[in-house]
Amino acid sequence: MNPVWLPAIGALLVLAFDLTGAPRNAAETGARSTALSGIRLGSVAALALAGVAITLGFDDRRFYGSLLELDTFGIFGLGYVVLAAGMVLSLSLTHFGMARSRPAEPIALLLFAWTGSMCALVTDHMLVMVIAFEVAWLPMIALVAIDSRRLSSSESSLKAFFAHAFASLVLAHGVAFLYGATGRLDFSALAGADLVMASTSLFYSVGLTLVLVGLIARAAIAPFHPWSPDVHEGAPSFVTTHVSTIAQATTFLVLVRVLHAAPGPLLAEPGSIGARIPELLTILGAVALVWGHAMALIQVGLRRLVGWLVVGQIGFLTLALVEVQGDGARALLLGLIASGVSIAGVMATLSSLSHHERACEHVGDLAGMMQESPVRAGLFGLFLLSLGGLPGTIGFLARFRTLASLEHGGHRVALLIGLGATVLALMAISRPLLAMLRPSDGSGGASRALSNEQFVLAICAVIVVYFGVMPIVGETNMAGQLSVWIDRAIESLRVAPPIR
Amino acid sequence: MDLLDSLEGFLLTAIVALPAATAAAMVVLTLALQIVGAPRLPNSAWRGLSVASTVLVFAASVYLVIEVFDVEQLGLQVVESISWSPALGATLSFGIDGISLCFLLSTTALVPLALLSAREEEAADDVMARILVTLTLESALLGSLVATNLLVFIFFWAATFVPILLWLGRWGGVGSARAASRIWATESIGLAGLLFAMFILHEMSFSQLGAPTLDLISPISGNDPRTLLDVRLEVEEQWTIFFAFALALATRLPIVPMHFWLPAAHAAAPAGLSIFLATGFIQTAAMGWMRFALPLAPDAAEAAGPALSVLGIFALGYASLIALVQKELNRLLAYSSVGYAGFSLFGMSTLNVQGLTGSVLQLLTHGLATAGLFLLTGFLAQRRGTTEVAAFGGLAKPMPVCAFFFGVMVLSLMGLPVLGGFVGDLFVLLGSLETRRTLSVFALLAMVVAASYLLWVQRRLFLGPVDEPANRGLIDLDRLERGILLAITLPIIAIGVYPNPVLRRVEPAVLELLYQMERRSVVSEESPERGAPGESEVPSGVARRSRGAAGATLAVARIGEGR
Repeated sequence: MNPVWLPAIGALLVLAFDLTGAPRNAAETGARSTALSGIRLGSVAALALAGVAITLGFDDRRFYGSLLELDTFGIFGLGYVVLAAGMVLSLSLTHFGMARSRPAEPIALLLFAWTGSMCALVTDHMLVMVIAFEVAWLPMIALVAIDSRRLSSSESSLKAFFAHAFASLVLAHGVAFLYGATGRLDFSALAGADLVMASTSLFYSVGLTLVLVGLIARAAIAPFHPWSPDVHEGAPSFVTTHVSTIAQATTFLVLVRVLHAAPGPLLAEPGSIGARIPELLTILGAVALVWGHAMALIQVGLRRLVGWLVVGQIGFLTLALVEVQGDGARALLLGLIASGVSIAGVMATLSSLSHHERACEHVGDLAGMMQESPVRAGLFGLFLLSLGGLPGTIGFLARFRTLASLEHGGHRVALLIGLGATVLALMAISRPLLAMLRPSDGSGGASRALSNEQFVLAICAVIVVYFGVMPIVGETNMAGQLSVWIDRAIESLRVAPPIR
Repeated sequence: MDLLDSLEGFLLTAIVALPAATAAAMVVLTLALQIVGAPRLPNSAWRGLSVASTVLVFAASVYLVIEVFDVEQLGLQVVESISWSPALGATLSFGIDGISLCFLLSTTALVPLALLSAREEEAADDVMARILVTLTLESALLGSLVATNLLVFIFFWAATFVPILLWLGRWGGVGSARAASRIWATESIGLAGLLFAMFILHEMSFSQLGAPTLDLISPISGNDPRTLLDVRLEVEEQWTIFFAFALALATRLPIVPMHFWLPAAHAAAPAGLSIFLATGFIQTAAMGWMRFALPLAPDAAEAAGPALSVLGIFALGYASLIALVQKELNRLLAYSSVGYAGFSLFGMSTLNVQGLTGSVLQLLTHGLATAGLFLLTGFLAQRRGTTEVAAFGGLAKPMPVCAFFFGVMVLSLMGLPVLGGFVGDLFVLLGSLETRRTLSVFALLAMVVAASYLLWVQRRLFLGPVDEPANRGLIDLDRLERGILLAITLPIIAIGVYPNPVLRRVEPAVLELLYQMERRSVVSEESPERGAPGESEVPSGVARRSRGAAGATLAVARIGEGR
């Protein structure tokens, strides 16, 4: 069986277990029972993820049907989703431990969302891609609103829904135009300029533009980003981790696939839309970088600050797309890992600080953290520094690759903007760093991180440091192996998809 | 002997890594004690371990100077390299020349002194945290001083950010948060400048050599030397790189108008951090300038020389005037650092043997003297609870030893003969007489202003009657404090009386630098003055820069003597 279906099966099992035996009302049963139920149902989800991982690791079969074929690039995407999903699942246990919602629904929604993401990552069919995005996004929007006690949770969910609706609308129309122009729905249609007759080339250009705009809107690239900081502020930590890792990575990886397939020779002509794609991406990336990091500088709310930093990170990922046919794709894949683990680490820290009596909503609430919880403060600082791109972290490595690809491609202005944004990012993260160093206001110390949070913190810290400092020479260690794996994933995109 | 020989193979790496490794070991030990439920070790144990580690590093540096470093060899030596990431052009490579050797020795010497001087920490809960920060900072600074790969240099450059932010933010005085924000912001700008230069060089090396490299010395033995020094940069590209490096230098050295973080930082920083800021921290900037910027962008550096000289003299004059009106000792010393950083830039901008040598000596001796003054200010603050100049007066009576040491440091800064500062000042002025004769007059005037505020502060603190009752009962420096200050004063006097051991090590490095500049110059390549390749081993530019200069001839002669 194709491993992408395993999470969906897991979701159905979770719902079945919930209907047959789980408590129906968290308020009646209390936090302990809800937490135990969360662990039981979470185990089902974990088994589904393990199933995906085992299938990817041991099953040599890569062709599961015409629409969901696994190439190395797709396997990279699935591996990313499995790793990130493990962290999301782990963080979700904190939410259930606080009895803020029944566990079955969020776990099932997460599993459905992961199914959608996995389908989007492996398909080379545009209609499947559109449907997969719906499957991935609609549960995510529901998850954003899951903390019904917080108004900001519902509000951010509504904003995310509107953003999703816009992106879906544009994407679906783009696919329709491309179908009209080429008569096909597989990705090879994007490159199939020979299929485009002169009379339909306008349809082709419009279709491609709409597909790109739809994906850009879905990726929350500025100016389509306003919902993202709201979600980071309003949604529970495990949901924001999902949004900033799996959802974000899915869209960017699909963008890589689309941009590798398009433009065909027709659109590569000077002055055509294809030739303008790098220019467009440079502008969008620059806007996201400057906007996101500049806004992060002035935020008072901690989660909102992180949300704006994420907008800035998306700007860097967008700049990597500028040279997607060259080294940019490699930089992007590394950037997704770097950004994913850094944000997951930040969210795990915030989760650990917020599930007790002492809320940690503002930057000033971090005061005393260095004294009371030095290890967690150090890790939080590490993740922030990785987001800022300080040398010695995986964030720097990804940024190096991105900016080097820009210089290699002759985009010096973009390089300068990227470096300017690095300065802004470092200045923005200095505020929480300094806040942690301030003495406590005596309002009560931060409580210990829960085991599930410690697990995520440890995993993220190891990845951030290990891949930030280890030599990358051949396949002598995991850093080298990752580099080779990324190379293979990109190489698999260069193999033209079969025309059906 | 075999063991020593094998140790020599990675001596620089060990010197750089040992402080950080000690810090890591301390963390592991603490966690292990927690796990087994054993009681925490006392603060004195942590201090003892850290001091032992830093003394060992200093001993290794002394061994490097005496046994390993070859005075007769030009350029980088004791090179150690490990492949890090070929795709990035990164090699974890270290090497040392006479310039970095001096800075390395002064940094490794001052760190144990800084640790020993922080006795007020004995009762503090977070002594260990401060020790960890100190050790990490030492490793980062030492790494910057000996890195021969640009990416590695940037790595260590950036690695200094966090310890300084932690130190200032956690243990700083009033205004420490603001000072930390300022230093973080300016350092981030400097880092961006370095990264910009690195990306351009990365791409240029890739396009010209077929593989990216950021090394100054080829890690590959044999006939495949691919280094940054083999990358040809046209004048326009040199200007771009030069500006990027200049931005980094201006933020860290610091040069007016990017100096604004330093007074705030010194005013809020504990004495230990101030020592780092006044020595190793600014020396890394000079190191980056002389190791990377000048040889890589020689034509731009030469063209920008007059402007940099003016900026340097302006910085000295401006900072000295501002220092005259300071009412707080740390801020006054901070402006002194800004001023002498300008003077050092003046020396570097002359681009001749004397000027560059003088600049290195100036940074070295000024660093030592300023470190001594910051320590003395710290000792006074411990006794009196303030560092306001007005709170003191007539301290020579209750604290004669303190007055003596303060006087030695101040006189060294002023450039009194037989003290270290004199040698640096003399060489810079000699260098400027050759290429910037008019500006050297202004430099002398600025030095007079600098001397005036130094004399004023010495008089105001130590001479005259003891007006304040609180000053009458002040206790003079104790044995440990005297020992610490003596350890700083001795090299200042030694360099002033007999500078040859330092000069013999610095001048070959400077000559090599000038040689590389001339070799890489694309302007002189097109100049008809230049002889045919292979005609002379000493390029014309080095001879031109040294022509008519007694100091340069002496320098070459000294090297000859050494051989």
